[in-house]
Amino acid sequence: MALRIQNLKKTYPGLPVFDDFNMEIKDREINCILGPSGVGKTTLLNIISGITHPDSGQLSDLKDKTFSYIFQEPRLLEWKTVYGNISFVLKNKYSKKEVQDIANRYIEMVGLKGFIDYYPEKLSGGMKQRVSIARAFAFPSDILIMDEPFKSLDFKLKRSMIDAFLRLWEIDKRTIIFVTHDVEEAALMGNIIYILKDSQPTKIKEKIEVGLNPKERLKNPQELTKIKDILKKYLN
Amino acid sequence: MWEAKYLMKASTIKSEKYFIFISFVILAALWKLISFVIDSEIIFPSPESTIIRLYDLVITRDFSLILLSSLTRGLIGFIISLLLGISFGFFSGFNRYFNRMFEPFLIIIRSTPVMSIILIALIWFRSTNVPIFASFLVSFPIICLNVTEGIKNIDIKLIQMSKVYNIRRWRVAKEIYFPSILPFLLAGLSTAAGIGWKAVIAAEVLSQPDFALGTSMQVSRIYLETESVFAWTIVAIIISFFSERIIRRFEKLIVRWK
Repeated sequence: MALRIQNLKKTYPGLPVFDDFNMEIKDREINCILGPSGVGKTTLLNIISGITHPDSGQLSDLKDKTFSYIFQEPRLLEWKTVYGNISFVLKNKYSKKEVQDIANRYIEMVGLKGFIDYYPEKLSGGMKQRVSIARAFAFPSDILIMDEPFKSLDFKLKRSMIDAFLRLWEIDKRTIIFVTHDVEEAALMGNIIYILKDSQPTKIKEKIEVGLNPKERLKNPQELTKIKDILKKYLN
Repeated sequence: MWEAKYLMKASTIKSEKYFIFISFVILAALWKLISFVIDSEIIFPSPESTIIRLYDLVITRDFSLILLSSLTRGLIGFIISLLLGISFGFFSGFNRYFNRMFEPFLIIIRSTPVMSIILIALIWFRSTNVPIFASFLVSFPIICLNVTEGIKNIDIKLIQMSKVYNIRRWRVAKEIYFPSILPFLLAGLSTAAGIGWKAVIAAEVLSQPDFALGTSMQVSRIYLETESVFAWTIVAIIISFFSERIIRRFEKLIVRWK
C-alpha cells in the first residue's frame, strides 16, 4: 500500500507552489525529497501531516494516519530528562509499564543508555538530536517525517547520526518521508529519491529508485559516488 | 577529568566563602573606625553597643510579637500580589490587546514614588493595613511583568512539536507552559519580596501600627536611641536576607534542569 498525492494544488498569494502535483509515498521505504531551498518542501510536508490544507487535490489514505517528526532542531523540553522527553510523547498511548519498556529500549538503541537521567542542557548537540530520533521512533506513528534533521551538523556528526538513524530503521521499518537539500544525505539514505525542480509551481524533475540497501551504501563508497553523481546531474 | 572539574569547583566555593568572611571583617573594622573617629554614640553608635542593644531587644517579650506582626503584613501583601500578579500576568501574556491596555497601569504604578503610595494609603486605610497595601502595590507590577515575560518566552516550536505528537491540551499546559513560565515567576518573586519588605517597613514608620518593626525604628529615632535604630535595621536586613535565601532554595529545588 502506498500513499498517493494526486492533482495537488496550493497557491500562496502571488505564488503558485503546487499545481497538478503528483507523488507516491511508498510504505516502509525511505522516501527522500531532494531539492534546493525555497521549492516548497516544508509546505509539502505540512500538507502531508495536515498542518496546512491544500487548495485542492487528493491525498489518498492519509486519514487516520499518525505522524512523528524529526525537526531541524532537537526540540526537547529542557526541564525533562532524556527519559522524560521520550515518555512525554508515549504517556497517553501506553500503560506505565509499556512506556518504561519502550522508552528504555529506544534510548538504548540510540546509544544513550548512560545518559538516561541527563537534562538536555548537559548533552552535546548530536546527543540531543539522537534523543529526538529516538522520540520519533518510540512514538507509534505510521509515517515518520524528517525535515532536514542533519542540516546544522558537521560532516562527521552527520555521518554518525545517519548511521544511528539507519540502525533504528533496519529494526523498525517505518514509512519515512525525508526532506533535504543535501545530495550526500539523499544518496546515503533514500530508497526512492524525488528530485524537485526549482520552478513555480514546483514540479518533480526525476524519480530515482536506488536498489542498494542504505546500510550497504555506507560500506561501499564507489556505489555511493555513483548515486551522488546521478543526483548532481539532475539537480543542475 | 570529571572529578578534577568537581574538585576545582568545590575548592572555589570554599575560597569564595572565605572572601565573604573577609568582607564582613572589613565591614566591622570600618564601622568601628568611623564610630571611633566620630566618637558620639548618638550620631554613630559603635558595633559593640549596637550588638548589645540588639541582644537587649531580642530578649524583650514584645520582640517576637513585633517581628511576627511585620512579617505577617509583608506576607499578606506578598500573597495578594502573587495571586493577582499571576492572574493578570497570565491574561497579559496570552492576550495582546489586554496587554496593551494593561501596560500603562503597570507603568504608572511602577513610576509612583513609594512614599506617595504610603501617604495615600494613610488617608484610606487603618494603620495596620497601610504596610500591606504598600507591599502589595510595589510587588504586584514586578510579578505581573515577569509572568507576562515568561509567557511571551514560551517556545512556539515546542508547542508545534506537542501538536505533532498529539499531546493533550492540559498536559501541554502542565508540562510545557508551566515549566516555561516558572523560572521567570521565581525570579520575579525574589525581587518582589525584597522590595516589598522595604515598603512594609517604610509604611510602618509612617502609619505606626501597635506592633511593628517600622514603628519601633521610628520610636527609637524620636528618643535619639540610635543604637536601637541600627539594631532594628540589622533585624530587617537579616529577614530580607533569609527570605531571599528561602526563595532561591525553592528555585533550586524546582528548577533542577539548569
